[in-house]
Amino acid sequence: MKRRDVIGAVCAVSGASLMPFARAHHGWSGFDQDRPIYLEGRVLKSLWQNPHVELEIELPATLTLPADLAQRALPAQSAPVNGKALLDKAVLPARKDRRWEIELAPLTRLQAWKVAEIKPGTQVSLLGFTFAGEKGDAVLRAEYLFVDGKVYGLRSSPA
Amino acid sequence: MFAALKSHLWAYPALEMVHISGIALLLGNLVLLELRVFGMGAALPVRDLARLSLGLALSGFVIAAVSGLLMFASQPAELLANRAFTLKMLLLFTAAGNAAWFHGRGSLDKLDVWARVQMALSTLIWLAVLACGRWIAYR
Repeated sequence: MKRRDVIGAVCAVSGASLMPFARAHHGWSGFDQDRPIYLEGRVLKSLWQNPHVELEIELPATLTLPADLAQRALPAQSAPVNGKALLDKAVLPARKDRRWEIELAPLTRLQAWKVAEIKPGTQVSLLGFTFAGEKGDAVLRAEYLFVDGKVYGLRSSPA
Repeated sequence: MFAALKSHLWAYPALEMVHISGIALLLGNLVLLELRVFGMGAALPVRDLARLSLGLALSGFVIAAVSGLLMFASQPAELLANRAFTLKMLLLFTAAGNAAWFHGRGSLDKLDVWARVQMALSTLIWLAVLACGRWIAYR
């Protein structure tokens, strides 16, 4: 067997063996953007890092949709997001998980919004999207973040 | 119609993979030609090397452009509002202008100081295009 055959075989095998790890991180295309979900809870874990910040939150025992949600003012951002329409359509998740993984924006965008680093124990509210049919893990890709009395858009930088 | 590309589970990342392969073909082959213009591999006839290298680079550009157009079509308003994207488009025009200048004055035959300046500029511009492209998601 020539040396290049051995090298080729090793590369192919190691490439194939990394496949399961490739599934661990999911992209943004699997989320159902027609069904905005509202969540709120206490931050258990905060990964303030790139490619995007991740929070693990715990919902209260009974989650209710705030009465004023549809009336909340949303900040302007550069991308054309119809936040008002999302607030009007917001629903609570059907699944009963109390622990959710929240995906926020990259560090540069959070810095553009001047979002202070969120520490465990903080109360946060979110409007975002989960997987179609709420299948898979309890993950929310956040569109708006409500924390410390302020609202932040996450799709793009402030207008 | 193109907006559906965004919500399909793997369509967008697949386009990104194709886009990256186009970038690799384009950038790698331009750097190869640049080294030849700077005098490395002098035994290799320039015209023959250029035919091979520029052909591949052009194929890479077309692959990147087509996949890029499809990604753009899935969310045009959002991308046009993104400064990294608009800067990238401006840089593409600059790269085209530089290429036109290179071929227009016969730099491949002259292989003089200006040819080297143009090739070095080309690499800088394309690296900036690459950086802007990656920056889009972080803006």
